[in-house]
Amino acid sequence: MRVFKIILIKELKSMIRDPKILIAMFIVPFIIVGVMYGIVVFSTRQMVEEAVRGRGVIAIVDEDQGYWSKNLTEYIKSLGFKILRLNNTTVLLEVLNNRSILSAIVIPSDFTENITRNNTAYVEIYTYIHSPSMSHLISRSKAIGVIMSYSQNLSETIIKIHGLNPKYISHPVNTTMTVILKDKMIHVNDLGALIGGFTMINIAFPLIAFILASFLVQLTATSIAVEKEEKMFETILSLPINRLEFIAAKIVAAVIIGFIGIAFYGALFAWYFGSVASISSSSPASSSSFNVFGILFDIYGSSGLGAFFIASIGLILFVLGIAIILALFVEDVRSAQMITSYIVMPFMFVLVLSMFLDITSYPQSTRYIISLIPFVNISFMSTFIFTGDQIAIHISALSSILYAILIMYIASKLIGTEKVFTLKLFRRKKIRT
Amino acid sequence: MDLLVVNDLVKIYPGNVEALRGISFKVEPGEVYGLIGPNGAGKTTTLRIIATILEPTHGEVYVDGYSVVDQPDEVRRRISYLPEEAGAYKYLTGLEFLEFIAKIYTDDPRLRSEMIRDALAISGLGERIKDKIRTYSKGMLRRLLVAKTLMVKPKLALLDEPTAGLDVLNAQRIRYIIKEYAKKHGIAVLLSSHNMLEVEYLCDRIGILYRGKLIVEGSPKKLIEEYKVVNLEELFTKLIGEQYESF
Repeated sequence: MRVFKIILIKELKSMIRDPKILIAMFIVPFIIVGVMYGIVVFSTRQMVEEAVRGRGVIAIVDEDQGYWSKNLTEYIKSLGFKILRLNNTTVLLEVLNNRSILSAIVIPSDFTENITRNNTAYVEIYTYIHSPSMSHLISRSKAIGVIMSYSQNLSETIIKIHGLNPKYISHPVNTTMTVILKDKMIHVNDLGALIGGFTMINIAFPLIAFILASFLVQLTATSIAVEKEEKMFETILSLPINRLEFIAAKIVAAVIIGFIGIAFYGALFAWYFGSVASISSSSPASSSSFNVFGILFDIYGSSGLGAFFIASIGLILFVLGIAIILALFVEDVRSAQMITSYIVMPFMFVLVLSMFLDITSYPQSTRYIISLIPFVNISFMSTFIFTGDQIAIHISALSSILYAILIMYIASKLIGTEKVFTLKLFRRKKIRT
Repeated sequence: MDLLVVNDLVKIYPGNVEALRGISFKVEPGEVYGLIGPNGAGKTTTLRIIATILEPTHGEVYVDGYSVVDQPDEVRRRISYLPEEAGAYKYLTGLEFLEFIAKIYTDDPRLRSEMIRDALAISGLGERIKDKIRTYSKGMLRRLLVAKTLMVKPKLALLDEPTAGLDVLNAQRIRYIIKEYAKKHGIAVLLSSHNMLEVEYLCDRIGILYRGKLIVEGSPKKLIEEYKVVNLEELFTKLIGEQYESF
């Protein structure tokens, strides 16, 4: 345990100081997300603020001069727009050529009469597009937004005048929905949120396991390959340390750094998506979403989620075992990173495949075979849990752990022999005698 | 009692490459023994087997009475190995690297401090010991590695080409350190070298390896007299020069 601690501390020091790890795991994602934030969030926020802000000049040609046309003009003014009154449309083109004039609204002579007689009234909007830029286009669409807003207000006023309920008029027929999940009847307001919840459990959870496994595999393989690249491997093998303890310390260091990386990524993306969502939606995440997750956790059950957790641990250890074995036989960090991508890629492929395959209709025997295949079983485990296929769940969890133990045993046997030093992948060096 | 016993050692690599063909020699405590020979003679393989990195195909190797095959952990506690192409963790400082090695050998803080103090004296790196290893020159790195090998005061130090690739001044300094430190602390040293001057200066006894066989063994002085040559270089040329050219 003493040597384990010494190696662990050394590993953490080396990893934290290694610019390759620092750049790949923290600085590059931070810069990318920062730039994404700068471009998407900041500019979107600017545009949204610009769209609602009543700033700019709107030209009005009031051919009606009636009560409702004056009411509309006052409404536009109340939003903060400056009004440029024109007597007729002959100068329209010349006026709109001025970039500071957002649009021109022509109110026809029958505007007030139509509203008074409960007929649809029309206004004509003219705008000049000087530039294809998003901010310019948004500024040119302000007049339509203003008219839509006025129309909505007017509609509610008219409904009230007639003594009707505005909510009833806008949605005379509505729905409530009951979903039957595993013999449970559940009332949901938002089917979209429920679908989102299932997607989360079917895709996001395996995806998190995948990202974590990728991190750990990369870090472990790299930290072992570094011993060879820095020409310390021969020295390490001759030191009075247990080789398994040495590898275990490297794995634990990778796990610590990997979890820090995952937490960093998680926080970064939560902040990023939170920022985007807060711009596009005025309301925070609805409580119904949380209710949906509560329902889903209830349906999947703690035993199902526990089995999924055990299988995930098994999978990560299995992948780590393969990474260790392969990393022991490469000569440098670049080769180690290349072979780890070979491990990660099939997992990614299976993960994508599982999104499109519905295995619930497959014969029982096929499902058992699927539950025995590493990588594949973890991708379909949520389906096994959902359908209550206890045998497939247990096969998946147990096989994942067994594969992990087997691969770790092979790794430990290899580490104890001279093969750890003599066997080379990709490039066989001439043996020095 | 001999500290190192190598008896009928054979090493055959995959592909039936015979690296060692039954070599035997012994090293006494405090003795400096040099293995010399041309490239491919089997020097590094011998050192790697004694360092428990490679396994012998046949034969026996004992360090302080412990078998490298059956009791490798005991052997590793008694040796300290400097490979020819050794490096160090470049993101650690020289001091952190020495502390890392010292901690592996002992958990006694007093002994560790003593080791570090010795290593600082051996390496002669001064204040540069606090700098990251990646900033070191080749000579500084080699001095650091010699220091880490000797500071633990092993019963047997295995040095593979300890001065390879170094300039004259650095090589001279390292030779002096090895000789003095081994004498002072009674450390047995088994080293390999191509440099005959180095071997003559450092070694109490030498063994000349050729094509996996130990063809001659003895003290440099005795061998020079016996073969009526001026120095070890001439002895080396006389013994294997002609065979080597036709090889």
